[in-house]
Amino acid sequence: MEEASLSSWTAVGLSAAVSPGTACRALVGDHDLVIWRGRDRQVRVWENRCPHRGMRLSYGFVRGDRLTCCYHGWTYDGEGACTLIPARPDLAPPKAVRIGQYARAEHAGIIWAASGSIGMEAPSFPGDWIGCRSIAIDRPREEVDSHFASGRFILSHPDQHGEINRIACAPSLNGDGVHRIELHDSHLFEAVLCAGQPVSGTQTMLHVSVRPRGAAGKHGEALRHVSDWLKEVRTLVENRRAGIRTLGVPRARLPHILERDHGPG
Amino acid sequence: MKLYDYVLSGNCYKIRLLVRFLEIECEIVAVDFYPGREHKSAAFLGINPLGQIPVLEDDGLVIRDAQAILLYLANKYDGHGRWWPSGDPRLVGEVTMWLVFADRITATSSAARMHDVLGYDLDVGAARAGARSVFRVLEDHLTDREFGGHEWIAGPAPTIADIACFPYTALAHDGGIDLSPWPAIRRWLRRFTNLPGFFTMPGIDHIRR
Repeated sequence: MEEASLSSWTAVGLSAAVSPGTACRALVGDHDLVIWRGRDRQVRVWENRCPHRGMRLSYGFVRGDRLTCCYHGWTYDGEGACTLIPARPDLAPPKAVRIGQYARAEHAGIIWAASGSIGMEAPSFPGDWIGCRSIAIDRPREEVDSHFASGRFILSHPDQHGEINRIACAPSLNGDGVHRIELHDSHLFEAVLCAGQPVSGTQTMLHVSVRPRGAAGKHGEALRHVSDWLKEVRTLVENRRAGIRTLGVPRARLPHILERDHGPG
Repeated sequence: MKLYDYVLSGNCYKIRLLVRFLEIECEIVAVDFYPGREHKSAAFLGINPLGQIPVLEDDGLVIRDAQAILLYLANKYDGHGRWWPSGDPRLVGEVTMWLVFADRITATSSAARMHDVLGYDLDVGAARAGARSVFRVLEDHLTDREFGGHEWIAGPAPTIADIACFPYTALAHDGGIDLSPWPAIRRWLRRFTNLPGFFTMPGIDHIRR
Protein backbone atom coordinates (compact mmCIF):
# COMPACT_ATOMS: atom_id res chain seq x y z
CA MET A 1 0.00 0.00 0.00
CA GLU A 2 1.87 3.03 -1.19
CA GLU A 3 -0.50 5.50 0.50
CA ALA A 4 0.35 4.03 3.86
CA SER A 5 3.82 5.52 3.87
CA LEU A 6 2.61 8.76 5.49
CA SER A 7 4.74 10.56 2.94
CA SER A 8 1.85 12.98 2.48
CA TRP A 9 -0.56 14.48 5.01
CA THR A 10 -3.08 11.87 6.10
CA ALA A 11 -6.20 12.26 8.23
CA VAL A 12 -5.92 10.13 11.37
CA GLY A 13 -8.92 11.25 13.44
CA LEU A 14 -11.36 14.00 14.29
CA SER A 15 -10.06 16.71 16.62
CA ALA A 16 -13.08 16.28 18.88
CA ALA A 17 -12.37 12.55 19.24
CA VAL A 18 -9.13 13.21 21.14
CA SER A 19 -10.16 15.34 24.08
CA PRO A 20 -7.56 16.87 26.42
CA GLY A 21 -6.09 14.27 28.75
CA THR A 22 -6.72 11.28 26.48
CA ALA A 23 -4.75 9.03 24.14
CA CYS A 24 -5.89 6.71 21.37
CA ARG A 25 -4.50 4.52 18.63
CA ALA A 26 -4.58 4.91 14.86
CA LEU A 27 -3.20 2.58 12.20
CA VAL A 28 -1.93 3.68 8.79
CA GLY A 29 -0.66 0.55 7.10
CA ASP A 30 2.44 -0.52 8.99
CA HIS A 31 2.49 2.70 11.00
CA ASP A 32 1.09 2.19 14.49
CA LEU A 33 0.35 5.64 15.95
CA VAL A 34 -0.59 6.99 19.35
CA ILE A 35 -2.51 10.26 19.21
CA TRP A 36 -2.77 12.14 22.47
CA ARG A 37 -3.63 15.59 23.77
CA GLY A 38 -2.25 17.18 26.90
CA ARG A 39 -3.91 19.74 29.09
CA ASP A 40 -2.16 22.36 26.94
CA ARG A 41 -4.60 21.21 24.19
CA GLN A 42 -1.73 20.39 21.83
CA VAL A 43 -2.22 17.18 19.92
CA ARG A 44 0.76 14.85 19.40
CA VAL A 45 1.19 11.95 17.01
CA TRP A 46 3.95 9.52 17.97
CA GLU A 47 5.11 6.01 17.30
CA ASN A 48 2.85 3.80 19.40
CA ARG A 49 5.69 2.03 21.15
CA CYS A 50 7.42 2.62 24.46
CA PRO A 51 11.17 2.18 23.86
CA HIS A 52 11.51 0.42 27.20
CA ARG A 53 9.54 -2.76 26.57
CA GLY A 54 7.67 -2.07 23.36
CA MET A 55 4.30 -1.56 25.05
CA ARG A 56 1.70 0.36 23.06
CA LEU A 57 1.63 3.90 24.42
CA SER A 58 -2.04 4.15 23.45
CA TYR A 59 -2.70 1.97 26.51
CA GLY A 60 -1.00 4.67 28.58
CA PHE A 61 -2.45 7.70 30.27
CA VAL A 62 -2.08 11.45 30.09
CA ARG A 63 -1.35 13.55 33.15
CA GLY A 64 -0.88 17.24 32.54
CA ASP A 65 1.20 17.56 29.40
CA ARG A 66 2.88 14.17 29.73
CA LEU A 67 2.13 10.69 28.49
CA THR A 68 2.90 7.73 30.75
CA CYS A 69 3.31 4.14 29.60
CA CYS A 70 0.93 1.85 31.51
CA TYR A 71 3.52 -0.94 31.77
CA HIS A 72 6.32 0.50 33.95
CA GLY A 73 5.38 4.14 34.14
CA TRP A 74 8.03 5.59 31.87
CA THR A 75 6.83 9.15 31.29
CA TYR A 76 7.39 11.38 28.26
CA ASP A 77 7.05 15.12 27.83
CA GLY A 78 5.39 16.83 24.88
CA GLU A 79 8.57 16.55 22.81
CA GLY A 80 8.79 12.79 23.33
CA ALA A 81 11.72 12.94 25.76
CA CYS A 82 11.63 10.58 28.74
CA THR A 83 11.35 12.56 31.97
CA LEU A 84 10.73 9.82 34.55
CA ILE A 85 11.62 6.19 35.13
CA PRO A 86 9.69 5.39 38.34
CA ALA A 87 11.76 2.32 39.24
CA ARG A 88 14.92 4.51 39.19
CA PRO A 89 13.72 7.83 40.62
CA ASP A 90 17.28 9.05 41.20
CA LEU A 91 18.29 8.39 37.60
CA ALA A 92 18.12 11.18 35.03
CA PRO A 93 16.59 9.40 32.02
CA PRO A 94 19.11 9.10 29.18
CA LYS A 95 18.60 11.61 26.38
CA ALA A 96 18.56 8.76 23.88
CA VAL A 97 15.22 7.60 25.27
CA ARG A 98 12.89 9.51 22.98
CA ILE A 99 9.72 8.58 21.09
CA GLY A 100 9.64 8.81 17.30
CA GLN A 101 7.51 11.77 16.22
CA TYR A 102 5.23 12.43 13.29
CA ALA A 103 4.45 15.84 11.90
CA ARG A 104 0.91 16.73 12.89
CA ALA A 105 -1.60 19.44 12.13
CA GLU A 106 -5.18 20.22 13.05
CA HIS A 107 -7.35 21.76 10.43
CA ALA A 108 -11.04 21.64 9.49
CA GLY A 109 -11.81 19.64 12.63
CA ILE A 110 -9.47 16.85 11.56
CA ILE A 111 -6.09 15.67 12.90
CA TRP A 112 -3.53 15.15 10.12
CA ALA A 113 -0.22 13.32 10.37
CA ALA A 114 2.79 12.81 8.12
CA SER A 115 6.27 11.40 8.39
CA GLY A 116 8.45 13.68 10.49
CA SER A 117 10.69 14.68 7.63
CA ILE A 118 7.87 15.99 5.45
CA GLY A 119 8.41 19.44 4.00
CA MET A 120 4.91 19.85 2.59
CA GLU A 121 2.62 22.51 3.91
CA ALA A 122 -0.19 21.25 6.14
CA PRO A 123 -3.62 20.92 4.52
CA SER A 124 -5.76 24.02 4.58
CA PHE A 125 -9.48 24.37 3.99
CA PRO A 126 -10.94 27.85 4.54
CA GLY A 127 -14.06 28.38 6.60
CA ASP A 128 -15.46 27.10 9.88
CA TRP A 129 -15.69 23.33 9.91
CA ILE A 130 -17.29 21.06 12.51
CA GLY A 131 -16.22 17.45 12.89
CA CYS A 132 -19.14 15.17 12.00
CA ARG A 133 -17.99 11.59 12.51
CA SER A 134 -15.40 9.01 11.60
CA ILE A 135 -16.73 5.96 9.82
CA ALA A 136 -14.95 2.68 9.11
CA ILE A 137 -15.43 1.24 5.63
CA ASP A 138 -14.20 -2.29 5.04
CA ARG A 139 -12.50 -1.56 1.74
CA PRO A 140 -9.07 -0.14 0.80
CA ARG A 141 -8.82 3.60 0.35
CA GLU A 142 -8.19 3.38 -3.38
CA GLU A 143 -11.61 1.82 -3.77
CA VAL A 144 -13.30 4.47 -1.63
CA ASP A 145 -11.48 7.16 -3.63
CA SER A 146 -12.53 5.74 -6.96
CA HIS A 147 -16.16 5.79 -5.87
CA PHE A 148 -15.89 9.45 -4.97
CA ALA A 149 -14.05 10.26 -8.18
CA SER A 150 -16.69 8.49 -10.26
CA GLY A 151 -19.36 10.96 -9.14
CA ARG A 152 -21.66 8.08 -8.25
CA PHE A 153 -22.46 9.34 -4.78
CA ILE A 154 -25.47 11.57 -4.66
CA LEU A 155 -26.08 13.66 -1.58
CA SER A 156 -29.62 14.79 -0.98
CA HIS A 157 -30.21 17.96 0.97
CA PRO A 158 -33.17 20.18 1.68
CA ASP A 159 -33.17 23.79 0.43
CA GLN A 160 -34.73 26.71 2.31
CA HIS A 161 -38.20 25.71 1.07
CA GLY A 162 -37.78 22.20 2.43
CA GLU A 163 -37.54 20.79 -1.09
CA ILE A 164 -35.18 17.85 -1.38
CA ASN A 165 -32.47 18.42 -3.95
CA ARG A 166 -30.11 15.76 -5.08
CA ILE A 167 -26.72 16.60 -6.37
CA ALA A 168 -24.13 14.27 -7.73
CA CYS A 169 -21.02 14.57 -5.62
CA ALA A 170 -18.41 16.08 -7.85
CA PRO A 171 -15.77 16.37 -5.21
CA SER A 172 -12.67 18.40 -5.70
CA LEU A 173 -10.05 15.76 -5.16
CA ASN A 174 -7.22 17.27 -3.20
CA GLY A 175 -5.06 14.26 -3.92
CA ASP A 176 -4.35 11.73 -1.20
CA GLY A 177 -7.90 10.74 -0.46
CA VAL A 178 -9.39 14.10 0.52
CA HIS A 179 -12.75 14.91 -1.04
CA ARG A 180 -14.49 18.25 -0.70
CA ILE A 181 -18.10 18.53 -1.77
CA GLU A 182 -19.51 22.04 -2.18
CA LEU A 183 -23.26 22.56 -1.89
CA HIS A 184 -24.62 25.89 -3.05
CA ASP A 185 -28.34 25.62 -2.41
CA SER A 186 -28.57 23.62 0.80
CA HIS A 187 -29.88 25.37 3.87
CA LEU A 188 -28.10 22.83 6.10
CA PHE A 189 -24.50 23.00 4.98
CA GLU A 190 -22.12 24.68 2.57
CA ALA A 191 -19.62 21.91 2.19
CA VAL A 192 -18.65 18.41 3.31
CA LEU A 193 -15.03 17.28 3.67
CA CYS A 194 -14.26 13.54 3.60
CA ALA A 195 -10.67 12.55 4.39
CA GLY A 196 -9.65 8.91 4.09
CA GLN A 197 -7.20 7.15 6.40
CA PRO A 198 -5.80 4.00 4.77
CA VAL A 199 -5.91 1.73 7.83
CA SER A 200 -5.00 -1.46 5.99
CA GLY A 201 -5.45 -3.23 2.69
CA THR A 202 -9.00 -4.00 3.75
CA GLN A 203 -10.14 -0.97 5.75
CA THR A 204 -10.45 2.80 5.41
CA MET A 205 -11.47 5.27 8.08
CA LEU A 206 -13.29 8.24 6.59
CA HIS A 207 -13.01 11.33 8.80
CA VAL A 208 -15.72 13.80 7.88
CA SER A 209 -16.24 17.46 8.69
CA VAL A 210 -19.06 19.77 7.70
CA ARG A 211 -19.20 23.50 7.06
CA PRO A 212 -22.73 24.15 8.31
CA ARG A 213 -24.97 26.91 7.12
CA GLY A 214 -27.27 28.82 9.42
CA ALA A 215 -27.81 28.98 13.15
CA ALA A 216 -25.82 26.82 15.54
CA GLY A 217 -29.09 25.27 16.72
CA LYS A 218 -29.42 23.62 13.30
CA HIS A 219 -25.97 22.09 13.28
CA GLY A 220 -27.08 18.84 14.93
CA GLU A 221 -29.56 18.29 12.09
CA ALA A 222 -26.85 18.89 9.48
CA LEU A 223 -24.44 16.50 11.20
CA ARG A 224 -27.04 13.75 11.48
CA HIS A 225 -27.99 14.22 7.84
CA VAL A 226 -24.39 13.81 6.71
CA SER A 227 -23.89 10.84 9.06
CA ASP A 228 -26.90 9.07 7.51
CA TRP A 229 -25.47 9.74 4.07
CA LEU A 230 -22.11 8.29 5.16
CA LYS A 231 -23.79 5.07 6.27
CA GLU A 232 -25.22 4.78 2.75
CA VAL A 233 -21.84 5.53 1.20
CA ARG A 234 -20.40 2.72 3.33
CA THR A 235 -23.11 0.30 2.19
CA LEU A 236 -22.64 1.20 -1.46
CA VAL A 237 -18.84 0.85 -1.40
CA GLU A 238 -18.89 -2.43 0.52
CA ASN A 239 -21.75 -4.06 -1.37
CA ARG A 240 -20.40 -3.24 -4.78
CA ARG A 241 -17.32 -5.31 -4.10
CA ALA A 242 -19.47 -8.18 -2.94
CA GLY A 243 -21.31 -8.08 -6.23
CA ILE A 244 -24.57 -6.76 -4.82
CA ARG A 245 -26.17 -4.42 -7.30
CA THR A 246 -27.79 -1.41 -5.75
CA LEU A 247 -29.57 -0.46 -8.96
CA GLY A 248 -32.46 -2.77 -8.21
CA VAL A 249 -33.23 -1.04 -4.93
CA PRO A 250 -36.19 1.32 -5.29
CA ARG A 251 -35.10 4.95 -5.17
CA ALA A 252 -37.32 5.63 -2.22
CA ARG A 253 -35.29 3.16 -0.20
CA LEU A 254 -32.10 5.08 -0.87
CA PRO A 255 -32.96 8.65 0.04
CA HIS A 256 -29.48 10.09 -0.11
CA ILE A 257 -27.37 8.10 -2.41
CA LEU A 258 -28.17 6.84 -5.83
CA GLU A 259 -26.43 5.49 -8.82
CA ARG A 260 -25.92 8.17 -11.39
CA ASP A 261 -25.19 5.99 -14.37
CA HIS A 262 -27.34 3.04 -15.16
CA GLY A 263 -24.54 0.90 -16.43
CA PRO A 264 -23.72 -2.44 -14.93
CA GLY A 265 -23.22 -2.23 -11.18
CA MET B 1 -28.43 -12.98 48.27
CA LYS B 2 -25.79 -15.11 46.63
CA LEU B 3 -24.03 -14.74 43.25
CA TYR B 4 -22.28 -17.70 41.63
CA ASP B 5 -19.39 -15.85 40.10
CA TYR B 6 -16.17 -16.21 38.12
CA VAL B 7 -13.67 -13.38 38.24
CA LEU B 8 -12.85 -13.47 34.50
CA SER B 9 -16.49 -13.60 33.37
CA GLY B 10 -17.84 -10.40 31.85
CA ASN B 11 -21.39 -11.66 32.38
CA CYS B 12 -20.76 -12.10 36.12
CA TYR B 13 -19.06 -8.69 36.17
CA LYS B 14 -22.32 -7.12 34.92
CA ILE B 15 -24.07 -8.38 38.05
CA ARG B 16 -21.27 -7.27 40.36
CA LEU B 17 -21.42 -3.79 38.78
CA LEU B 18 -25.16 -3.40 39.36
CA VAL B 19 -24.87 -4.78 42.90
CA ARG B 20 -22.29 -2.06 43.59
CA PHE B 21 -24.26 0.70 41.84
CA LEU B 22 -27.36 -0.21 43.87
CA GLU B 23 -25.32 -0.59 47.06
CA ILE B 24 -26.88 -3.91 48.01
CA GLU B 25 -25.33 -6.78 49.96
CA CYS B 26 -24.46 -9.90 48.02
CA GLU B 27 -22.39 -12.94 48.89
CA ILE B 28 -19.98 -13.91 46.10
CA VAL B 29 -19.50 -17.65 45.56
CA ALA B 30 -16.47 -18.34 43.36
CA VAL B 31 -17.06 -21.04 40.72
CA ASP B 32 -13.93 -22.71 39.34
CA PHE B 33 -14.92 -22.12 35.72
CA TYR B 34 -11.41 -22.60 34.35
CA PRO B 35 -9.65 -24.96 34.53
CA GLY B 36 -11.97 -26.77 36.95
CA ARG B 37 -15.14 -26.66 34.76
CA GLU B 38 -17.09 -26.59 38.00
CA HIS B 39 -20.05 -25.03 36.14
CA LYS B 40 -20.47 -28.38 34.37
CA SER B 41 -20.30 -30.43 37.59
CA ALA B 42 -23.32 -32.41 38.76
CA ALA B 43 -23.64 -30.17 41.79
CA PHE B 44 -23.74 -26.99 39.73
CA LEU B 45 -26.06 -28.45 37.08
CA GLY B 46 -28.47 -28.87 39.97
CA ILE B 47 -28.38 -25.09 40.37
CA ASN B 48 -28.40 -24.23 36.66
CA PRO B 49 -29.15 -27.10 34.25
CA LEU B 50 -27.67 -24.98 31.44
CA GLY B 51 -24.29 -25.18 33.16
CA GLN B 52 -23.66 -21.44 32.87
CA ILE B 53 -22.78 -18.59 35.17
CA PRO B 54 -23.84 -16.18 36.56
CA VAL B 55 -26.60 -17.52 38.75
CA LEU B 56 -28.27 -15.46 41.47
CA GLU B 57 -30.06 -16.84 44.51
CA ASP B 58 -32.31 -14.46 46.42
CA ASP B 59 -35.18 -15.26 48.81
CA GLY B 60 -35.41 -18.81 47.52
CA LEU B 61 -35.48 -17.65 43.89
CA VAL B 62 -32.82 -19.04 41.59
CA ILE B 63 -32.33 -16.93 38.47
CA ARG B 64 -29.86 -17.38 35.60
CA ASP B 65 -28.74 -15.36 32.54
CA ALA B 66 -26.99 -12.03 33.09
CA GLN B 67 -29.64 -9.83 31.50
CA ALA B 68 -32.44 -11.56 33.43
CA ILE B 69 -30.54 -11.05 36.68
CA LEU B 70 -30.00 -7.36 35.84
CA LEU B 71 -33.74 -6.95 35.25
CA TYR B 72 -34.59 -8.74 38.48
CA LEU B 73 -32.17 -6.75 40.62
CA ALA B 74 -33.11 -3.39 39.11
CA ASN B 75 -36.83 -4.07 39.49
CA LYS B 76 -36.50 -5.24 43.05
CA TYR B 77 -33.81 -3.00 44.50
CA ASP B 78 -33.70 0.23 42.44
CA GLY B 79 -36.41 2.24 44.15
CA HIS B 80 -35.69 5.25 41.93
CA GLY B 81 -36.18 3.35 38.67
CA ARG B 82 -32.92 4.79 37.33
CA TRP B 83 -31.32 1.64 35.97
CA TRP B 84 -34.59 0.19 34.68
CA PRO B 85 -36.95 3.06 33.79
CA SER B 86 -40.07 0.90 33.99
CA GLY B 87 -42.50 3.84 34.01
CA ASP B 88 -41.72 4.88 30.43
CA PRO B 89 -42.93 2.42 27.76
CA ARG B 90 -40.63 3.87 25.08
CA LEU B 91 -37.60 3.49 27.30
CA VAL B 92 -38.67 0.00 28.33
CA GLY B 93 -38.71 -0.93 24.64
CA GLU B 94 -35.35 0.66 23.93
CA VAL B 95 -33.58 -0.71 27.01
CA THR B 96 -34.94 -4.21 26.35
CA MET B 97 -33.79 -4.03 22.73
CA TRP B 98 -30.24 -3.30 23.88
CA LEU B 99 -30.39 -5.93 26.63
CA VAL B 100 -31.08 -8.46 23.89
CA PHE B 101 -28.35 -6.89 21.77
CA ALA B 102 -25.88 -7.49 24.61
CA ASP B 103 -26.18 -11.23 23.98
CA ARG B 104 -24.92 -10.63 20.42
CA ILE B 105 -21.83 -8.98 21.89
CA THR B 106 -21.38 -12.01 24.13
CA ALA B 107 -21.85 -14.46 21.25
CA THR B 108 -19.12 -12.76 19.21
CA SER B 109 -16.66 -10.63 21.21
CA SER B 110 -16.75 -12.89 24.27
CA ALA B 111 -16.32 -15.98 22.07
CA ALA B 112 -13.17 -14.49 20.51
CA ARG B 113 -11.86 -13.78 24.00
CA MET B 114 -12.65 -17.33 25.19
CA HIS B 115 -10.54 -18.55 22.27
CA ASP B 116 -7.61 -16.21 22.93
CA VAL B 117 -7.60 -16.17 26.73
CA LEU B 118 -8.85 -19.63 27.72
CA GLY B 119 -7.93 -21.60 24.60
CA TYR B 120 -11.48 -22.57 23.60
CA ASP B 121 -11.69 -24.42 20.30
CA LEU B 122 -13.93 -22.29 18.11
CA ASP B 123 -13.83 -20.34 14.82
CA VAL B 124 -12.14 -17.18 16.10
CA GLY B 125 -12.20 -15.53 12.65
CA ALA B 126 -15.97 -15.83 12.49
CA ALA B 127 -16.27 -14.60 16.08
CA ARG B 128 -14.19 -11.50 15.35
CA ALA B 129 -16.02 -10.77 12.11
CA GLY B 130 -19.30 -11.09 13.97
CA ALA B 131 -18.06 -8.76 16.70
CA ARG B 132 -17.07 -6.15 14.12
CA SER B 133 -20.54 -6.13 12.59
CA VAL B 134 -22.13 -5.92 16.05
CA PHE B 135 -19.83 -3.05 17.09
CA ARG B 136 -20.65 -1.20 13.89
CA VAL B 137 -24.32 -1.18 14.91
CA LEU B 138 -23.42 0.06 18.40
CA GLU B 139 -21.08 2.72 16.96
CA ASP B 140 -23.75 4.08 14.61
CA HIS B 141 -26.25 4.15 17.46
CA LEU B 142 -23.94 5.96 19.89
CA THR B 143 -22.95 8.43 17.14
CA ASP B 144 -26.62 9.29 16.57
CA ARG B 145 -27.12 9.59 20.31
CA GLU B 146 -24.27 12.09 20.55
CA PHE B 147 -25.78 14.23 17.77
CA GLY B 148 -28.84 14.49 20.00
CA GLY B 149 -26.69 15.43 23.00
CA HIS B 150 -27.11 12.03 24.67
CA GLU B 151 -24.32 10.08 26.35
CA TRP B 152 -25.96 6.72 27.04
CA ILE B 153 -27.52 3.88 25.07
CA ALA B 154 -31.10 4.81 25.94
CA GLY B 155 -32.63 7.70 27.83
CA PRO B 156 -30.92 10.55 29.66
CA ALA B 157 -28.96 8.42 32.15
CA PRO B 158 -27.15 5.08 32.23
CA THR B 159 -29.43 2.02 32.42
CA ILE B 160 -28.95 -1.73 32.70
CA ALA B 161 -28.60 -1.65 28.89
CA ASP B 162 -25.28 0.18 29.31
CA ILE B 163 -24.20 -2.29 31.99
CA ALA B 164 -25.18 -5.25 29.78
CA CYS B 165 -23.25 -3.95 26.76
CA PHE B 166 -20.19 -2.67 28.62
CA PRO B 167 -18.04 -5.68 29.67
CA TYR B 168 -17.55 -7.59 26.42
CA THR B 169 -17.15 -4.34 24.50
CA ALA B 170 -14.45 -3.11 26.90
CA LEU B 171 -12.82 -6.58 26.80
CA ALA B 172 -12.80 -6.79 22.98
CA HIS B 173 -9.03 -6.39 22.80
CA ASP B 174 -8.66 -9.61 24.84
CA GLY B 175 -10.17 -11.35 21.80
CA GLY B 176 -7.89 -9.59 19.33
CA ILE B 177 -10.44 -6.95 18.33
CA ASP B 178 -9.05 -3.43 18.11
CA LEU B 179 -11.60 -0.75 19.06
CA SER B 180 -9.88 2.06 17.16
CA PRO B 181 -12.42 1.99 14.27
CA TRP B 182 -15.20 2.96 16.69
CA PRO B 183 -14.52 6.32 18.37
CA ALA B 184 -18.06 6.79 19.70
CA ILE B 185 -17.81 3.41 21.44
CA ARG B 186 -14.50 4.44 23.00
CA ARG B 187 -16.01 7.70 24.31
CA TRP B 188 -18.95 5.77 25.77
CA LEU B 189 -16.58 3.27 27.46
CA ARG B 190 -14.67 6.16 29.01
CA ARG B 191 -17.88 7.72 30.33
CA PHE B 192 -18.88 4.37 31.81
CA THR B 193 -15.57 3.93 33.63
CA ASN B 194 -16.11 7.36 35.18
CA LEU B 195 -19.48 6.42 36.74
CA PRO B 196 -19.54 6.74 40.54
CA GLY B 197 -18.82 3.36 42.09
CA PHE B 198 -17.26 1.92 38.93
CA PHE B 199 -14.63 -0.75 39.50
CA THR B 200 -12.60 -2.88 37.13
CA MET B 201 -12.13 -6.54 36.31
CA PRO B 202 -8.99 -8.13 34.80
CA GLY B 203 -8.59 -6.80 31.24
CA ILE B 204 -10.40 -3.52 31.89
CA ASP B 205 -8.34 -0.59 33.10
CA HIS B 206 -9.39 2.50 34.93
CA ILE B 207 -6.20 4.54 34.93
CA ARG B 208 -6.71 6.17 31.57
CA ARG B 209 -9.79 8.24 32.36
